[in-house]
Amino acid sequence: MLEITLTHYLTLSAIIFLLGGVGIYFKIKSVIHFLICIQLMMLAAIINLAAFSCFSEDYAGKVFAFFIITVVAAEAAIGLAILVALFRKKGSTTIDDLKLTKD
Amino acid sequence: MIQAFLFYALAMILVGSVGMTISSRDPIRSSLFLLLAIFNVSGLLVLLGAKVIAVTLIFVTSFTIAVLFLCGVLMLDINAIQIHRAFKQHFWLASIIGLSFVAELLIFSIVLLVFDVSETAIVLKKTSNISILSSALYAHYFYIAQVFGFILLTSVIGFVILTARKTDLNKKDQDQSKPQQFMVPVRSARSNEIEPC
Repeated sequence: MLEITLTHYLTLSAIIFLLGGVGIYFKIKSVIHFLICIQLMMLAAIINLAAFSCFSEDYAGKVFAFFIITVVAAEAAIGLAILVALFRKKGSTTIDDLKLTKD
Repeated sequence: MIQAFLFYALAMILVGSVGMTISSRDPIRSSLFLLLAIFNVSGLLVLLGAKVIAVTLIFVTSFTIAVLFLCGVLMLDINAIQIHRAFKQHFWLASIIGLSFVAELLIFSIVLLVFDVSETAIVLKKTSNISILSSALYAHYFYIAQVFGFILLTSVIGFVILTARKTDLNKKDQDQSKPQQFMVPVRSARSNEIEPC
């Protein structure tokens, strides 16, 4: 209990990943919520990679955590650009207005 | 012992803030709780010995959260009057939360000063962290680093293409779609009609 092992970190990251997925599945009101939940899942992945790289004493996990941060930045930039374009087109940012890509 | 205390404290605050992030309806509030979650994740990364990644995470994602916050404020037509009223309503709750943040910061800094956490944290002690990371980035994973640089470049170009528009269209749209609630009636000097300023 007092000894922090790999299992603790993996459980924590699994909880965060599940909460992010639950947020995507149940609580979508606007596109900003969608982006935030994706960021939570990326955070869980970062914890997972850093924990594995620390406990197996290998630096590759840290490098890939670094790459995940760049992916987070790129994803947020593209998502916000889509959000701005959607708001200019429709005037709101709710998820129902994303149907315009079907038309 | 100290490591376990720090881990459990950070993990509890992290799970709570993640729960508040996904459960709050207001996008601004949920993005602020996401900011708290990111700070706790960087604390966990410091415990794991990955200090460079913790600093990079704070820099990159706090910028992202700032942009998200700005978009939430700009797009969801929240009045300044509403924000002021909410500030008056929730002043005591907000001050309690802010004081708890300050107390947490003080407790963690005292713990880090008094006890030697670097022994309890599992750190590769032979070489420094940034030399390991930079040698890995630019020697072993050089091509992957280039690919991720291209991904960032593509995202910047995509952002510009998606949001750019001509200036004429911009002016016309601004004139047409000016929202009603931001207009302040001003009595002009020439006539007695009420004009939006």
